[in-house]
Amino acid sequence: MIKGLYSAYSAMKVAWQFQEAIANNVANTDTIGFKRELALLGSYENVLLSESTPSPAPLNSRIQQIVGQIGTGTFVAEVVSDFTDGAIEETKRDLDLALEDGFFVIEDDEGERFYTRDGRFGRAVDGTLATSQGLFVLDENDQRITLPGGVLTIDESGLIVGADGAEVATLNILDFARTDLLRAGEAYFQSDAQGTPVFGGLVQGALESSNAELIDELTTLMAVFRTFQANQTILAKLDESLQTATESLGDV
Amino acid sequence: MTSMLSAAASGLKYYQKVMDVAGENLANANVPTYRRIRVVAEGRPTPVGTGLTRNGVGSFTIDRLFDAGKVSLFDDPLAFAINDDAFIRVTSPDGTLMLTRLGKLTIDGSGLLMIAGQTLEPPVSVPDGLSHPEVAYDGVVSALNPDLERVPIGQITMAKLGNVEALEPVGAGFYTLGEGVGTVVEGTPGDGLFLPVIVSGLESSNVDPTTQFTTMMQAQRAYSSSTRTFRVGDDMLALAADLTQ
Repeated sequence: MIKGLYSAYSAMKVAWQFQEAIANNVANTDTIGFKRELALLGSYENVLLSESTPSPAPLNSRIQQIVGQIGTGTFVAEVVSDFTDGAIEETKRDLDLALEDGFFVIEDDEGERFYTRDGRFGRAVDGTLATSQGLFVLDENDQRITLPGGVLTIDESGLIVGADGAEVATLNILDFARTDLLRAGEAYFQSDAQGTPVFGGLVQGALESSNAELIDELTTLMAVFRTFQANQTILAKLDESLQTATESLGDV
Repeated sequence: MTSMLSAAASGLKYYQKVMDVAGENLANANVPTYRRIRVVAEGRPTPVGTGLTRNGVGSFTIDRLFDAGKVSLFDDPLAFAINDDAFIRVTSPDGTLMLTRLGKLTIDGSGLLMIAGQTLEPPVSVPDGLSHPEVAYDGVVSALNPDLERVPIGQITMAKLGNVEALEPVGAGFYTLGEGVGTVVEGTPGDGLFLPVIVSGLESSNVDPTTQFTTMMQAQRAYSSSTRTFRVGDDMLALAADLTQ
């Protein structure tokens, strides 16, 4: 009805959806392997405005002339993950792993595969290499890895060597085109693509921090909040105008 | 709709945990052989198609880190420090096998050698008439007999584990063997599998107070940020509700 109403409303909706992603980013500024989300905004198509002018004589009619365009609001086109690397911080724990390129391959009890940069691994009760939530880390043949006891050395290509020098397995590290990855949790992704193996860049005794920076996310949080607030004010004022129009103008 | 608030709340819970952990580490920074803990925030995998929610920190994991502390001189012939990643075998009063890094022996009223109330496994006691017990680098406990000769009276035994993180802490630096410790190798210091111990030395905690303070300060800032997110989320909800005034 009133275009302004819908524009303001769509801006508020965008702000709301945007804030959900940002609030999540703020909460996850310390989550290992977290990749922050960005909202890509799109605008609805502009609508043409026209007005009618009298047509030249002798026709007794009017002509519609296009006089301009008006925007009809924005919407969140897509919320995408930002795959910038987080900082790699040393922890000195032998099963803390970080990657410069690519992702670890893990699977859950039902065989559901995930890809992640979260390299905080440990031993399950039976000695298999697992994540803290019990998902299993796979080797290059997509098999679960049973670890020998003692301190392990993992080189930059993912080769695990036991305390006695015997080779155990090589971790599966795959890289994907960014558009092939679907978000499946704060630090987990899934993909239908095969992934290309990566042969270097693993750091043992370190973890990759979140790539969400507190300052940036908080700034955006406040900016989006003000946008929301401003549009809410517009909406409220438009509502008042409408109210005045329906109540007062109708008075005879 | 309220995922903003859940995200903020999860941030608050996580940073509170970080503060608790740093506080505990700092409180124990001067306790010999205390092993520090850390908390790590992780995500939770949710398969695509099951509805992605943005509820903040998925889970947090608390790890106990067993890297060695510094060994300093401790002028007590019954004090020793372990030089590798092994543990001393002790028995609790109810007969449970426990492990500890604390090599600080005391003698109770009956001459039995103890570590903080737990007896050595196998037990070692100072027989009547002997005095001045000492621990040697190979874990052999000796004492002076009435002829002032040093004679052996017992042996300290050690254990190494496949997976140190499966140890279950029971307090005061003692651990029981949890599920998943893997193969337990037993032996004595200096027998080839185990390194000799450092006598008249004591291993300190592995807490670095500077790191803990820094962590605490960062957690405080991040906690305030989470409360800010909470307030923004709440304000937005209030504004939305105000639309229909």
